Amino acid sequence: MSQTLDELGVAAVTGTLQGAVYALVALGIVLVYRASGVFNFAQAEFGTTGLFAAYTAKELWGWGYPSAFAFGIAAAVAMGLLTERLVIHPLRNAPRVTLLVATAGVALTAIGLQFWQFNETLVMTMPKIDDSFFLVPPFDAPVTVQQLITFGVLIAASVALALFFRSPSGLAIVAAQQEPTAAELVGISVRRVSMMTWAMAAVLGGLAGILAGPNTTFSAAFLSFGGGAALLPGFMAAVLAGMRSMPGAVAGGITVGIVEQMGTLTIVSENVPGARAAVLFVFLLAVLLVAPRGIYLGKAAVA
Amino acid sequence: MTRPARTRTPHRPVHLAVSAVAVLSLTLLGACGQKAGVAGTGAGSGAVGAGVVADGFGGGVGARGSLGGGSGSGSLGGGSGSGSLSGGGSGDGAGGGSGSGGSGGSGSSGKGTKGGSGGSDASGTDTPAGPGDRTGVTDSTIRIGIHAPVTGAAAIPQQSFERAVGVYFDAVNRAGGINGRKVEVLFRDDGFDPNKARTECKRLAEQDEVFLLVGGGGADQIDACARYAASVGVPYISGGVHETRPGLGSLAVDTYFAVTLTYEQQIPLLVRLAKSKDLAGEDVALVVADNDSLNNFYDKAAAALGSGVGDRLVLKRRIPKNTTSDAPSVGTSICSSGAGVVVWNASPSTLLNVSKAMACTVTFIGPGLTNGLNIVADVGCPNLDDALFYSPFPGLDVMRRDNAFVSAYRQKNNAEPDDIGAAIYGLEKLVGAMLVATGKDLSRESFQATIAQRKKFETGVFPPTSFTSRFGGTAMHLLRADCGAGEFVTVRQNERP
Repeated sequence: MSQTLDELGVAAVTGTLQGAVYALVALGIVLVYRASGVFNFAQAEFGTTGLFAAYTAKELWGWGYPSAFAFGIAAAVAMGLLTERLVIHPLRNAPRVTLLVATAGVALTAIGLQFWQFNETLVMTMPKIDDSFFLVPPFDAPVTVQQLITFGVLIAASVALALFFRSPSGLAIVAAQQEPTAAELVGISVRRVSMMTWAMAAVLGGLAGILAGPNTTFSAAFLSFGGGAALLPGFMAAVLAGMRSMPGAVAGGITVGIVEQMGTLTIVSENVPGARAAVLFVFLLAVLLVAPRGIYLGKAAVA
Repeated sequence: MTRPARTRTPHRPVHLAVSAVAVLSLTLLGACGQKAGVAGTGAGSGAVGAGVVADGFGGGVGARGSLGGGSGSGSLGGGSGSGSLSGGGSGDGAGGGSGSGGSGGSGSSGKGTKGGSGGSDASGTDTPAGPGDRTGVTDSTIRIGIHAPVTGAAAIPQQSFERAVGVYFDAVNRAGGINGRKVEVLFRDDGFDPNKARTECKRLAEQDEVFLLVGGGGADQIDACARYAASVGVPYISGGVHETRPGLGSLAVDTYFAVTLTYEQQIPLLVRLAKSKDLAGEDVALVVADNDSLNNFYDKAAAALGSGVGDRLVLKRRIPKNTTSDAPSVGTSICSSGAGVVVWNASPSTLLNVSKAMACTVTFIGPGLTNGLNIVADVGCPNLDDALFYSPFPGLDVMRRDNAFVSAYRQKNNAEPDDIGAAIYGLEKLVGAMLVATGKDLSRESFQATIAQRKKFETGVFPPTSFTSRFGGTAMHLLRADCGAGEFVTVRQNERP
């Protein structure tokens, strides 16, 4: 019993920290959905692209960590802006499902490019920002400083987003999403707002990718379906947030992280093979049956 | 695939009956899971003319040739017996007999039937004559095929493999070849995928018509290819992996030869290591990939560690074969267990992922084949510092002093050797020794019979073999990850269980 309690405590801590990556991805998904109503399946690939760029700068070109990190974020933003200009904008009047498929196409194109460029590289790995680790009482949950940094970045990004959406630029995004024609009439450039939204989503994705990458080795599609797979958990977190609430996306990401870790408990994993994923999907199904609009609905979502 | 012309051999009814009884006896012995080799040899006593057993480990080549239609090799004589042979077997075997005598066989020629051939002498250097299956062998060449996981979860540099394959045989060819024949080596990437491995082995055997197949690494791929090779009578050689697999039975299949200790045979080494002075007092975790081929290893290792280190065994768990997104949770479970030593048997890339994701420091120890590769230390350091893995080949620190290897590698590649080069060089050298021992009259049957008869092959790279069964390993080299040097260094050579 005591062992199970300890395991639960460790799972809660680990899940919270793992959930930070999911929350960053979920924030990007929600941001884009709120601004343009698009389910962005390329969100995680913003992260993988940023990671690959940072890896290239750090490991292949020998740049310092800060420069490589910034380069990775810049690459993610470039991908976000290109996606908006070359795919989303031309298809702005197309049905939503067309846009959804288009973002999936963007993701697959990015994955293809990653394979093409890095196929010969067998094992890609980035050093952690800080290699140290410690045990968190009272359960002695093992935690790396890299995980704490990721969690700190999530908190910082959440605060920044909250402040941003109280600023004129943030309000412009909300206005452009809710009443694009009226927004244009009062001088808000919907085009610029759309680009800004996609750039911000790309920054969030890039942060997720570059911070999660050093936790394992990585390969093409790392943040979508690879070692850092955060696309589906990110979407689940966004669904828990009703696809609209930014605080809900953060809470959703952490919830998904914790629930996922419940599948690793000895009592579960020894009796249910593949319990980690199964537990998560059962949880999501239950939430959708009980509360189809999500469970973390902030003011924005309700509005 | 070119096969020797089939010949119908006249026979008397009594021969047919004797053959049938002998085949059934040997098949039953094989089915009873009898370890091949000595027992099989004894069983073969007097089974003159059975025309099935090729190599002295029981079971023979029955998978390929059915009763009366076998590959037509001679059966073994008694353990100390006559080494009698008889070819022809019954019916339309793939060729005349080419089996060799049993261990210590006297070299007497086969009795009686057409197609039989001379027996081997005790030294095993004079191989039986006779047609046999000579696929892949011409008067001037021997073609062999090697498969290994260049891509996939094993993550081995492709260029390293391209450079490594053929280093030994190129040198041998420059010196005139083996018994006058040049050795041609074909290489295929199996993608760390058993299905792809089987396909590639089939291509090598049936399209490229290689004489024998060699597995470079990857337990499931070796399993898949070994079983395929047995089904078509192609000799198959690899480092030792698992011994048995649920649903498929023992890997001691016809035509297979494991040249180093199997995972199961390495368990005593691992227990000894976990109890060693340097690691004594540390709690121990056992982490094994969940491929079914490792079930037997997992069960036996858990039992052996349980009795060897007692309560210090604090965690036993299986993990996905390709652990990627699960790596943090696996790492967390190891760290939470408090283990300071992890007995690890999963792929190198899984090791890299888990060790990177861990929020604690442990010492990984494990059996060979591929976790002791330098790419693992290169990528896995500092997390893998002081990891101890058994390996069929010594570290590069030792191999750099092997002038023959270094000069052969440089001559072929105009580059400095790496450990993949050492591994393949060692494997090729061992295969080369087997081919040399078989002699000029080379057939698949005579090759296998020579291994069974000679048993011991010592090359100075891989540990010596002792083929009293199909698992012919006797020892392993112990390597340690030296993160300062960025490679695995040799701690001990030829450590026996």
